[in-house]
Amino acid sequence: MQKRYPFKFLDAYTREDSDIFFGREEEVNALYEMAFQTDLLLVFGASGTGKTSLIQCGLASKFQSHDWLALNIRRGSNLNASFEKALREAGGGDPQSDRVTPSQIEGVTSSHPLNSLDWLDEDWSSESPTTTVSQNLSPLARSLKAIYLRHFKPLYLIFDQFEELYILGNKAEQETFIATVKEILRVEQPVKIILSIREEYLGHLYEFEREVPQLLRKKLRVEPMHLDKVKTVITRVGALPDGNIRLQAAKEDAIATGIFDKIKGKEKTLAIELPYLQVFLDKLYLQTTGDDSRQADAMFTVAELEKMGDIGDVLRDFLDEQVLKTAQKLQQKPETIWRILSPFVTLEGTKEPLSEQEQCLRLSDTSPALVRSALESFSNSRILRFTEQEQRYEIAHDSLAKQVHAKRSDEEIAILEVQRLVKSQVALKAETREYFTEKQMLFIEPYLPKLSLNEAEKRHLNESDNAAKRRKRNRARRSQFTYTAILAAFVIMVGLSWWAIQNQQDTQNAIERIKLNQKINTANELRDYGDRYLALPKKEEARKTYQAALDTLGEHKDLELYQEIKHKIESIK
Amino acid sequence: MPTETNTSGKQNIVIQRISDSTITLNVDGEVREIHNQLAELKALLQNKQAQTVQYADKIYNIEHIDEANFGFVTGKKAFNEYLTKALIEAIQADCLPAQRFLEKVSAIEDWETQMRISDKAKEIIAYSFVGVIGIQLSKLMAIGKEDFSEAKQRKYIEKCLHIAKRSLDLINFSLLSRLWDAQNEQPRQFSKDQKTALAHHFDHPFEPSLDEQFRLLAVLHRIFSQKENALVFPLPELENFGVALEADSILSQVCRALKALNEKLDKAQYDLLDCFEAEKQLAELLAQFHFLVHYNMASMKHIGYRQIREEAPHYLHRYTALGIDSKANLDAEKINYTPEPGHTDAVLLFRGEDYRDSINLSPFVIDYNALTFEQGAKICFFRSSDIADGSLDYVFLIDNSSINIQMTGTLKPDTDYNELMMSNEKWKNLNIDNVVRDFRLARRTLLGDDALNLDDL
Repeated sequence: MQKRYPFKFLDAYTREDSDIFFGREEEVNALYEMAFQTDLLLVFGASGTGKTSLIQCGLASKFQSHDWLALNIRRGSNLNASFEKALREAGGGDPQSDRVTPSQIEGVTSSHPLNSLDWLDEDWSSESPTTTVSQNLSPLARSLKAIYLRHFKPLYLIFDQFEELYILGNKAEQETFIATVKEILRVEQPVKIILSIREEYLGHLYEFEREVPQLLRKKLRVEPMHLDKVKTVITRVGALPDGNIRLQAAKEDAIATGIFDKIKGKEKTLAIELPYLQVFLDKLYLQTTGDDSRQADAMFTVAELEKMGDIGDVLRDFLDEQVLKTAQKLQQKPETIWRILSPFVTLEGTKEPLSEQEQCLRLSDTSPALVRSALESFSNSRILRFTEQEQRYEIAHDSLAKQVHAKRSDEEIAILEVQRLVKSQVALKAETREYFTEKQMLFIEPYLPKLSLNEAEKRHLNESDNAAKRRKRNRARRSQFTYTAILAAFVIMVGLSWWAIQNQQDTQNAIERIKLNQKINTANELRDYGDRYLALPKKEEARKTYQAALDTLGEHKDLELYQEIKHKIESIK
Repeated sequence: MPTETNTSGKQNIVIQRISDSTITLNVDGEVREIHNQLAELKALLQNKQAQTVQYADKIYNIEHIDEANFGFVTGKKAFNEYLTKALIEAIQADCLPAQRFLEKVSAIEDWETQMRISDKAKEIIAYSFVGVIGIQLSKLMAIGKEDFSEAKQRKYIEKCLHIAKRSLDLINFSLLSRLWDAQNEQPRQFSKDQKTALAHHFDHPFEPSLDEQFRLLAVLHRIFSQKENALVFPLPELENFGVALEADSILSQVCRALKALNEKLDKAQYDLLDCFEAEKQLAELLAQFHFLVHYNMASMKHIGYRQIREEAPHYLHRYTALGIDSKANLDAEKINYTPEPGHTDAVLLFRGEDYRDSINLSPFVIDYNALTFEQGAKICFFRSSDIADGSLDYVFLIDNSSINIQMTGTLKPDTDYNELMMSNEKWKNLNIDNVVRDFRLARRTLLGDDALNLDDL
């Protein structure tokens, strides 16, 4: 019987690997308990802690096969579309199109009185005489019911790498997904949802939790690999009856501690990442046996471990080595090969799955043949993983993605930022999409020749450019108009001021005139009284009254009345 | 693994291929083809003076094959076909959907062989049978749908046995619960045999066999039937169940047959024919308990109290309905605002939709999640007790795993309840202790004062 190689390298453990999956019993048991306490479970932890393996291997193998129907869903290009696809493939196609026809049923011919089998889709659970036809169920509820009836197993919807919804998805996609989850939680069939997310993205779940308050009620944090767990893994791998790894007798503990210390290096940390452990163990195996087929027996000894020397960053070294090998094989510069890997990593340094076609589009200045060869080479060296279902390639692990990201130049990062800016705008519905501002266009323009854009993106950029130009013209026009308007306003202001002053003068004159008239009237009245005193004759009183009339007129000595009264005073003397 | 390793006939006859219409055999190196009919196969074996025939690493004794299980061997009859047809017919008088289904398929011959149609029948069965049994039946359907394997055969027989055991448990526990309540109101004297059977239930250190469960049911039924006891059956359908509990009744034979299958399973001496046998016996057993489709189960999660000035007090019952469609979300819990109090941490069995007149199955059936303040239900049935340490062993219905419950001694004579309930952990322990306490109370009430006092342990 062929012995088993017990390491998974960068692949996640699955149900079939339960006999080589060690050191996670506590977390698996906790997760299993939670599965009976909620219909919505959140698994979170740092990258490289083994969340996927914990669910797909640990939890899956705790359930008996008749109690576990798992649908593993990755975002792909859109999480909601990927989910619908997964449901269809699991037998949840629209019952309308999946309906039984009489010819499919033995004994029921087209002339048979019971040739209509619509009743199979009716819901009789209420026992009501009037049936509720399942067509009244939403397509999602109908789909989940169809899957359940096909298997009679509780359905576990596992959304792995859920952070992709927030890294790569847009608002509309997120909102649709939240609505879907709310609906799933209401269906009558036994359906549970497991979301696996990197812990640094937990904050993005704020909106989700507001809509689904139970989201964070049952959650499990997956801890990184501490020394005791690493010891469990190493010693149990070494004791596997059908495994091809053995540990030097009585040195199991020293070997496990040595491996842990070498991976940890000079870092002041109490834990290591799983991918590092896996890659290290693989490297140790190859060093010990030199057998690329990984079939030979290996004895891990302290001496063999010592030979590994100061290994530094094992993952970075592995990646460098593979890129160099690929470059030599394809007779290219390493930089070219790094550039081919780069689009598989987001700006945040996480994985971004891409199809070959999408990859070629992004690398328009690289020949498709070279892209294809590089993709094949990376698949063989296990840096890239190809998913048949999605027909996409992706970096084997986020830890590798982080390494690729670290290799990027400033220009490359800028190009990616521009690419994301363009894509995020174009992904919006036409009615909510906005043109890029001039400032944004100034940022985008230098990188335009290096961008691989699809038609919609090119169109949007053109329209944005035109809009920016229009805005500029309009602004110039607006400026000219503004100057004219300001000048006109100035002139008007001057005119108005002059008019106001004039107006004020006239008013003042009018007031003066009124005041003078009032004085003249008073003086006239006093003159008349003076005239009466003079007729009595009371000359002195007449003189005083005339004088009062003259005082009233004041300085208006030019008036005829003034002169007249003055004469009268003089005549009395 | 083969159940019979020696071919007793003179010829070596191996089935090579089976199609819908023919069977291709290798008879001592000579290839023969016959019609896919048992009569022709038997005639061939008789002709060759052979007793056994080999098919897919298994050797079958032709005497053990009949028309009913022949289709099972040849793969013509699928798992669950017999059970589905038998059960849908057995419950039709009690279940409107089953009745309507049978009306619809009355003109379709062998409808149970048409997967799409039989799935509908399976759905009706799983959703109609009382809570936990319905869930178990759905699991049996799931196993039946899996690809053929050695593990499938074992799981299938195991699940049939589990369903049979839990069905008998459910009936027994409801009778015990009602009897316990009745004894509290007015103590009755039981005969020595009756006391022995009851003591066996409370004190047995291993899971009782189906035979023992049947005997307990018979004893309990006799106690309830004795006029001088003036007891009312918790399930009215049990009133006329006496005939079914006689020594040679169908139910008695079924229990014996299932016990025999259990022994075969323990010795790993089962084959495909045993899967069919298990299915047939389970169908017979559940047909006897067809009335269980009228019943529902619920787990009481929490009871709140509300009284406002000048109004009568009211209670807010929060409970989870137990069945395939029960959910584990807080907002999926059902609510009943009622002036009537209720038992907290109770698992209830009731007829129809109203649980007011229900049977509290606790502490024989517990919801572990309710005791530990968790959402969702984790229903466990009492399996055995350990007289040595006074602990109780429960079986978690979903995975048949064992849950051991021990007295934690949280409540002491000087314990301040207010302080105790400030700590969730202590409160959980108190709930667990209450299960053990209730079990001991039930035991003492039913067995009398002369029974061994477990509180002294």
